[in-house]
Amino acid sequence: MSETILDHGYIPEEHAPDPVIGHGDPTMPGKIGIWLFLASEIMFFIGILGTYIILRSGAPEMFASHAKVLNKTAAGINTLVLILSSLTVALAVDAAQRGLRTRTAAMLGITLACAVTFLGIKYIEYSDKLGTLSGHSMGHQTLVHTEGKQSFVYDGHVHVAHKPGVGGKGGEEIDPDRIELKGYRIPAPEIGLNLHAISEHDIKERSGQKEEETWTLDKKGIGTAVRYGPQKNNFFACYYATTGVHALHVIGGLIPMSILCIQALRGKLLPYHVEYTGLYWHFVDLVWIFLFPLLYLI
Amino acid sequence: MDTTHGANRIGNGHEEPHGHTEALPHHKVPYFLIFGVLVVLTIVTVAVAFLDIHNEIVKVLLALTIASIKASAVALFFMHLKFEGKLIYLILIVPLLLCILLVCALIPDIVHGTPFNPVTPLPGVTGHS
Repeated sequence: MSETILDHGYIPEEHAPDPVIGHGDPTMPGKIGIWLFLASEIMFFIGILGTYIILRSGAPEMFASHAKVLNKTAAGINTLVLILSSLTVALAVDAAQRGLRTRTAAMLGITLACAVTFLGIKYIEYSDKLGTLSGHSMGHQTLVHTEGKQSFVYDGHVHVAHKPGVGGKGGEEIDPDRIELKGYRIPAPEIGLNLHAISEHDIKERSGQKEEETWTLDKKGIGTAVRYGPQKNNFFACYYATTGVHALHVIGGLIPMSILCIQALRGKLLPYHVEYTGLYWHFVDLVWIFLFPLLYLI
Repeated sequence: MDTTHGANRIGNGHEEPHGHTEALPHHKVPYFLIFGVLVVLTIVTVAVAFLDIHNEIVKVLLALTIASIKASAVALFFMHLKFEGKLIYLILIVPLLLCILLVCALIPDIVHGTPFNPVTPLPGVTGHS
């Protein structure tokens, strides 16, 4: 009775082995499948990254100036966290192949913890620019504010303002008519200013300020305000596209890893599945290894 | 053929169809050493960023080179690519070549904007008072 693909994962040869060509161990179909998937994912990411490279070539100074606004420390920590998670998932694959169930579960657990840490730091980075979910921080904005005859261009982080409390200091009650901005400002020039193209770095240089200052601004005086979201300019559009899609891939990788970790804890070790999930996770780390210098450091 | 093959089990049910244990192939890879190399190269990447290089192309090539070395370390050792057969290499080479082709094909679409000046004149305004 000939064996089917369900028995070993591949169909064994039924004729005599070739005396000349050494075939070696056949590659598992699952491994070929995951590598084919990773090949398509490479094309997926190069679509976005290629766009970034081309757009950057068209406006290199603007891109370089805006890259300085990003939090390099957070991204550096994220890089080390992902590299650590790559190590632990490789150790999990090794343990699974040796049949060590508890060690596999432990290593997968540490990988999951690293993934969640990565997503947490990513949230801190995003909320710094876009504002928190509670609305207390309104993120990073470039805005023009006019008070009487004076107009200034501000660039900094916007928070809710508080009504003055007892003794003149800031109170508890939120002032709905004003906002607080901590950053830099320059007098608004008389001709049109492209708020999308100017970065906090540019305004800081032109303002001559040594450090950030805080102003309380009346909302009615605010003219144009541009948030540091994907609408700010091409750099930020590329930044959110690449890091957002990468974060989605991290979340996607969490799902099979959690399932395998739980299965290992319940007594079922699946070494092939752990290996293929590990390959996907290494790919996610690889993408970040390229994203980190290309977005944050150059 | 056992008709209850895998029916009552949680896993794929194919691990031991004939009851013999086969050691899954695993290669001796110095995982912690490669991890150390990756951490060092990350520090190098950050250190290089502090160098004030003005040539844009040199900056990009340097960043990509260090990133490629890190990527090769992860791919060859963590992903066990070093021990794989020709088919896997073929599956990988095709998209890598297509990546280079894609970026080169987009080069004619590079649009150089006006010289970088965030103070752009409003339409109809000459920019001089």
